[in-house]
Amino acid sequence: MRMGLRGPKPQFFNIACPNEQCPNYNKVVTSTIVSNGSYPTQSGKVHKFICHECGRVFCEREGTVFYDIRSPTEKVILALKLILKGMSLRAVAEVVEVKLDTVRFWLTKSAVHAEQVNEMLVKEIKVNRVELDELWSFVRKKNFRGWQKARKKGMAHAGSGSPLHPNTD
Amino acid sequence: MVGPRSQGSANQLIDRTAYVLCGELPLFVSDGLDSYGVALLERYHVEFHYPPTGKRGRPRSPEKRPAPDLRYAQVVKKREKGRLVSVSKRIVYGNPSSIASDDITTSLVERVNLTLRRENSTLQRKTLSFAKDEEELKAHLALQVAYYHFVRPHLSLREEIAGDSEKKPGRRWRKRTPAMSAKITDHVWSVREILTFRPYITSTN
Repeated sequence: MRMGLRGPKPQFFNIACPNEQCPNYNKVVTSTIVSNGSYPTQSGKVHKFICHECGRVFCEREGTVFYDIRSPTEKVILALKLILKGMSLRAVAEVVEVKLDTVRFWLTKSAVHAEQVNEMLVKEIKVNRVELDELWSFVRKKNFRGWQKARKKGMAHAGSGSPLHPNTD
Repeated sequence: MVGPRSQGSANQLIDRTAYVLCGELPLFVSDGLDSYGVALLERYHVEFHYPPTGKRGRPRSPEKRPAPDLRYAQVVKKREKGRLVSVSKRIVYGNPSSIASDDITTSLVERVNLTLRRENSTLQRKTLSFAKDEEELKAHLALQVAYYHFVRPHLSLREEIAGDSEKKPGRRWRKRTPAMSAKITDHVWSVREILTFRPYITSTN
């Protein structure tokens, strides 16, 4: 078989079709998936692929946390590393120079993915001893929006004055 | 597992643990909270049917008894005015001869708790970085648990490099993560690897 100038056709061993209707959905079948161009991003080129079984075009980021994220991947990873080393979300937002909501979005997206990875890989473990314990913590108890609503409502009814905070004893 | 300190949460925790485990039932050790004992009995039990008495009336309903291979012990701490007075070990289920006294300890999980507190801003005490939303806390923990399993090398799991081929000057130990110790992976992962790992792909080649 005669090869082209660029050598043998590359085969993709970690790329699978993300189309749920495709018979090769989530299966690595090197014969049906071929490269289909690329597009530039802030972190370099992202390859696109086509599945010859169903015709779906998809990019290499599909199925990862970086899919549909515009910021550079290095920035996202730095933010998550800072979170994982004990920095608060507000501090991370200030350091990385993004909005707090962006950091929250990155964290939520990566947490969903990390949970899937954990569930997929961490199972069927043989151990001799299991230790069970609790860790105390709390989530904000004050409901500021509810408080504002209650104040507005109270003002509308009573005409003046602000009611006490709903959670105040 | 995030939730209130209740029986429902204990049941969920035991179910989650059962999903991860395989092979022989391990020894379960906990603090003095009785919810774990109830949850373990709920999960690992055999039903005992009372023999018919031959008398009139409704027969006694079957009773839940711990499975023969279930072993559960507690470390009970007694405090007076906030100070620890005594620590006692109590075997709840299982044959006392099959449980070594040294195994009844919760020091490893307490160490994990400390690592979680140190490296998670939402769990740090007496700071303003507490969780403002439950979903945020859950997300933080989910990411941290994956990081703990795959990325963060554990000092006590390190291995001495035996062969000269792998040995580099000034390097005596090979770093290992809990996932490497459980033979799930063969190397220390990076954060990028977790984020780009495709969980459900199966190879057919």
